[in-house]
Amino acid sequence: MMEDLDVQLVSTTIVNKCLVVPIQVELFDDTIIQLQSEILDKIQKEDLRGVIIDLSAINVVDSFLAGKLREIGYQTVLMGVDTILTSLKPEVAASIADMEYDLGNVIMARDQDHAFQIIDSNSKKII
Amino acid sequence: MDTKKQKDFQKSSNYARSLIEASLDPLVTISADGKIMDVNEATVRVTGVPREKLIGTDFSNYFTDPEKAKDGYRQVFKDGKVQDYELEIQNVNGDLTPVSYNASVYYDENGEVAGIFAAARDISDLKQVERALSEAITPAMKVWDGILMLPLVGNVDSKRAQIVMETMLTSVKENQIKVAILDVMGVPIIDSAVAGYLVKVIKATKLMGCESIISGISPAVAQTMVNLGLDIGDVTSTSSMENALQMAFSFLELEVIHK
Repeated sequence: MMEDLDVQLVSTTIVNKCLVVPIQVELFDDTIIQLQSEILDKIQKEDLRGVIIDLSAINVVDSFLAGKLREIGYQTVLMGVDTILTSLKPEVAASIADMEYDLGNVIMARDQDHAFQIIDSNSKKII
Repeated sequence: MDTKKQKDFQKSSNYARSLIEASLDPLVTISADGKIMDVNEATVRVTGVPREKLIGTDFSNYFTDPEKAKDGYRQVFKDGKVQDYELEIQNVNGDLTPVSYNASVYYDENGEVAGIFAAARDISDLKQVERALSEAITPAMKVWDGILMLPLVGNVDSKRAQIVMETMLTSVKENQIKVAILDVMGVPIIDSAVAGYLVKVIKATKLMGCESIISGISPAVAQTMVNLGLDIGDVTSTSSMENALQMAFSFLELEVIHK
């Protein structure tokens, strides 16, 4: 029952060969872990160019979430795909900087448009 | 005769009490162990706690920073008084009132210290003005489509850094800023604390997906920063505003052309 709910809470879509993960709810630790493996599975199954995680609805980033995002960043890069976080709220950005959380090699974007631009320019480099 | 004396005493006592109650400033008396002994109506209003529940409880309970409140009354017992001691009263409904305390000890009929008489003054308006003023000297201006400039003038402390951070991030969000320039030409001293604040602001800006540049690093500042071993990480910095603008233009793939 709970698992069904979680799947519904974070429904990913693939747009222009990019996995878009819009997070519309405050994440529970379980949801994040589930999401993490879902993203990695999708990279393996589909031919993806990038992962875009939209954090516009997130109000709080704790050390666990920051750590997981960092892990996702490194893991997706190992699988050949960049992870891009978009649409952070100003207060969330401020608190991440204040707490000195390290997000590793995830790329930050202003909004989804910007994220697609970054992915486009990165894929061009490879070709 | 005795009854007349008693009446007079009653009268003057009532008079004194009514003056205390009439005061718009929250007044309170505190015992040597920090318990509230007496309060007036204004204190009841500002804390939201009825009088009988206030009396006998710890004075420091009603502040956002109880330790600072305790330090305050200890200082009064030590020095006999404190002036303009700033605290923040927390109402039970969650409202916060910044206040400034003037407090001194008072004596009983034998000349012994009986307790502290403390009067608070609501300084919300003052705080608001202070804040508005520091915002006014931290203007964020959009100098070009997608380019934001934030010139810092004067000393930077943690409060100021907080405001800079807020101003920077909200204007980045509102104006769809792609490159933000933080100019520190007007900051006289950059020590490890200030450098830390600046790096935090830059990091937060980068988290918003916005590129940022620190400009206005003077020779003296560059020297002290290296001598102090301060590391600002992978933050782009430059000496002049001109360079910073040039960098911003090239980042946005813009070019300035002679007519």
